[in-house]
Amino acid sequence: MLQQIKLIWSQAFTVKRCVLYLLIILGLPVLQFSFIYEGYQFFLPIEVFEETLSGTIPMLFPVLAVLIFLPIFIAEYKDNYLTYVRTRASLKDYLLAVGFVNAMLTGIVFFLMTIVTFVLIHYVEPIIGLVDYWSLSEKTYETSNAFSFLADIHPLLYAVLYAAWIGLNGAAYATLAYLLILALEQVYLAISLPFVAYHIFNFVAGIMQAPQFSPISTVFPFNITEQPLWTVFVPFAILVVVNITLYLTMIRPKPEWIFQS
Amino acid sequence: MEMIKLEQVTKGYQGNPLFADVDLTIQKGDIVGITGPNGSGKSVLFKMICGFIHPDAGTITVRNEQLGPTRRFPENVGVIIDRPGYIAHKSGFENLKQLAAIRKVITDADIEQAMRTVGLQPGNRQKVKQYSLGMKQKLAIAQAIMEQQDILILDEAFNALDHDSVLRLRELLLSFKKEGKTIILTSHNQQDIDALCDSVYRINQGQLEQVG
Amino acid sequence: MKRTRNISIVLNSLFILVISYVAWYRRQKVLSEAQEFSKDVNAWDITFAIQNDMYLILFFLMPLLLFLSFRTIEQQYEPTILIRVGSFRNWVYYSIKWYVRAVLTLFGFVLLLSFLCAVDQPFTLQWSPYSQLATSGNISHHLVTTFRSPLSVIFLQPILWLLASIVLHGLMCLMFLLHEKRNGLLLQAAGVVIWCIFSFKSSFGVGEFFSPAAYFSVGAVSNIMQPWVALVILSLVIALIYLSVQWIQSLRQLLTSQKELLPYLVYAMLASLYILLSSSRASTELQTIGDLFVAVFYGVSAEDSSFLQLVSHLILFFGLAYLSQLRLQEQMTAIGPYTWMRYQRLEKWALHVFVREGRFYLLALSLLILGTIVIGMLQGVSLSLSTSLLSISPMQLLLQLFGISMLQLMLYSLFSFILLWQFPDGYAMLGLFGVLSVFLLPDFNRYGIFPSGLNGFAQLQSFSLTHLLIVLLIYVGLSLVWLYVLFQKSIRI
Repeated sequence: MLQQIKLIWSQAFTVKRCVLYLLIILGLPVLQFSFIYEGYQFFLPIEVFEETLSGTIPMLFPVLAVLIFLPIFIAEYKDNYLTYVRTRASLKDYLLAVGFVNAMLTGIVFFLMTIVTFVLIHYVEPIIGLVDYWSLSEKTYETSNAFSFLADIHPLLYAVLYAAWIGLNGAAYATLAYLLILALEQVYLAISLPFVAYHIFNFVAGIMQAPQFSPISTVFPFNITEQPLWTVFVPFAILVVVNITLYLTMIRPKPEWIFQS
Repeated sequence: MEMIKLEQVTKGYQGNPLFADVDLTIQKGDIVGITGPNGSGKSVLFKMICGFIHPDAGTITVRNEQLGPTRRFPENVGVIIDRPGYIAHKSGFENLKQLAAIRKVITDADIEQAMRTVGLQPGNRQKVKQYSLGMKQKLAIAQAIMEQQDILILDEAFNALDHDSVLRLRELLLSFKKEGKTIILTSHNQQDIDALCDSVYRINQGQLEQVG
Repeated sequence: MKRTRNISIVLNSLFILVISYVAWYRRQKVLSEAQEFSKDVNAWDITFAIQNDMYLILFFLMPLLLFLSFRTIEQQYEPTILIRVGSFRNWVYYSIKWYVRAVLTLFGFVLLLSFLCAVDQPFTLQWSPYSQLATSGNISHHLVTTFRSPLSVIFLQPILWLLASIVLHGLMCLMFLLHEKRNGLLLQAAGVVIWCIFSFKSSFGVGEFFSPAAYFSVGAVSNIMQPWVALVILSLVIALIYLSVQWIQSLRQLLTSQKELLPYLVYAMLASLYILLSSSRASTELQTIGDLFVAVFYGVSAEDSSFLQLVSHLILFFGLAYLSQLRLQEQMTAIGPYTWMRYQRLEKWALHVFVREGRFYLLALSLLILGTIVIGMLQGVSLSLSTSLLSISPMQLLLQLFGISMLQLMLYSLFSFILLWQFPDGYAMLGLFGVLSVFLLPDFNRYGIFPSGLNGFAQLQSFSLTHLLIVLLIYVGLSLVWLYVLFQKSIRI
């Protein structure tokens, strides 16, 4: 099993894929930063960090989650690779290993994206001085969010735990897509459903006037007023329950895996 | 009568030459077999004759009409390509009916007849996603023959078929030959090639060598 | 058998304990509040406070009612019973009969206890002075504005319990018959509980209308509508259940054989919900159908964006484009090669595909517009196409609503088609939605040059109709040229 994980893990580090990870970790935050570093009123680096993680990244979040590892698996799946795995190793172990690597890698990429953005904005950018910060005495409004209490303890604690939260959510969306591929056997539907579901729930929460429960505002809680921390776990818990239900009802009961592309 | 003619055809794929100045002529009523190791370019050759892929150089003529800007795909050609795909949530009959609706030259009865010929039950409401690989292959054969196409280009048509179905398909292809249809096919099974083909070509280092 | 009896004893004891505690607690609350404000209470104040305690209903009665519904269905969906009742329709009636018997005992106990807790107070025919007290927890105060006498409330409450129970269990049965899975039934029950709590806890006013929990309380019902309307609604739903069970067999067949219809059903549901809620929310500002169109299809622009408008536009229009994408995916990657050979020319085939997608968009847009008109008529807005929300003429309104929307939607399909042609794996198509949705964000499309969301009325605040038309036509032109070039090349199969 460990051997399989190592093998699958190593497949995820080709030059092309590393460029993709770098683009997600650095490219997207830099792009968003270039849009916002002027023209906004910032008082603290943490506000710049939060604005950098708003807009583009939340919008693309589930798309990015399925792009990190799943293309490798889908290529194998479409080429009937799994049929050949079955004769050589336990398919159950192999699929578990793929699921593990998919979740881990997606989680790590999102974690790094968040933490690197934080370190760059909080510690490096003030040295360069691209952003003009306003004096805190002129601040007339609150910009705190569900995770802000962590920043009051220590900014790095906030960064690490929030990055872990993003990583966890990314892993959950990637796992959803992976399970859907196995359950539905229709690749495009499977990879697009997390994105569709993400926005359907955003929409439902929006029309119910409960944005504090929308996936977008719980993963990136910067566009709404501060909410109790438990609210962010509601969509996440639903996502986890959906993943577990999918596994228990549609994947585990299959007595023999017959995969066809 | 020359049904298919390749002249000086050259084709490469991502820097690897597959065919270099290849010539091939297939006469009406012939069954021609193409063999070669995996990756030698059998499917590419078939896709070029179908008009899916353009050769880098040379010309391909089907029924005296050169494939190109004015004639992208040859007319009335039955094709099986290497990865048969269907609309998964429709039955076999519905899939064929959708294809038949494009040219509108055959009736439902003709579709049913084609299905029976390959060993499928037209009344079976089963969706294609529930079909076995062999049934999907039979469906692919049915679509290739249902409109009485007079040229058949069959890439691995015998794949996934059971023994009885292989024998039936061989008989069917021989009966088509008697009707004057032209067939070009590949198979991993040398017995299929030996039993059916008037002439056999092997792809070897970018050339077509006649071996039988 | 013994185990079931033990569970039953435990549950009954728990039920009596919880209800008794809540009844006592509510009684004390009413009495202490009345004492604090020196107001006299009567028995009805306590009785109604117990019967209408939303926390009791939401967190205790609803889960219990759904548990009973779950158990009734689970126990009665047996071949031996089905054979005897003869049809699914009769089984639903049979199951409802049993369920109602069980829950009426439960509500009988609630009724009895609510009377017993108030037995030391006078049962007068008038409302008490306490009922005039406007505090948040005073249920009598809510009721006094709707009902002249407490007697009408006490007559109405059992009727509501009866009808709401029939509706709840009837719908549970109907839903169950569509899938017949125990886990699905559990999910149904859990879903209803979560939905009830969610609509109660969120500030979602209209949500109460759709919340089953509200219909078990006269107080909650009279908060959102006239009580007789609630009775009519419940009776209508019962009639609907009656009609649906007649067709359950065909409906089941349709759903099992036509699973590909599911995305369309989900879309229709979301779009209807959006049109209904957004129009009812803004109803005070809306005078004409034109106003309603602007409100419903407002969309977003670089300068004018809100979360709700953004996600609504994504669902309404990207949703349609997604449905089109699913069909394109099927037609192009699965059956494609065999189709091209028969069309002889790729351009002819593409034209056929786009005509079909165009027809789909035309139908979908017409239905969206028709749905909005019907809802507008129900709200009593005038049928004029003029609007005071934007300075545009009725003709411009129609052009934006229909013409630009059609063009925008066709462009989404054109982009999807091209990307799918070049990258059959589908990632590019998914990425397309990602990129297009980014252009809906504030500031990203400041000059209106990116072809995303240009059909929202918000765009008319910044750009003229001609500008939008030209931008879209340029993209359509460029895409067609791009497609033509692609068609000349080898096909990636």
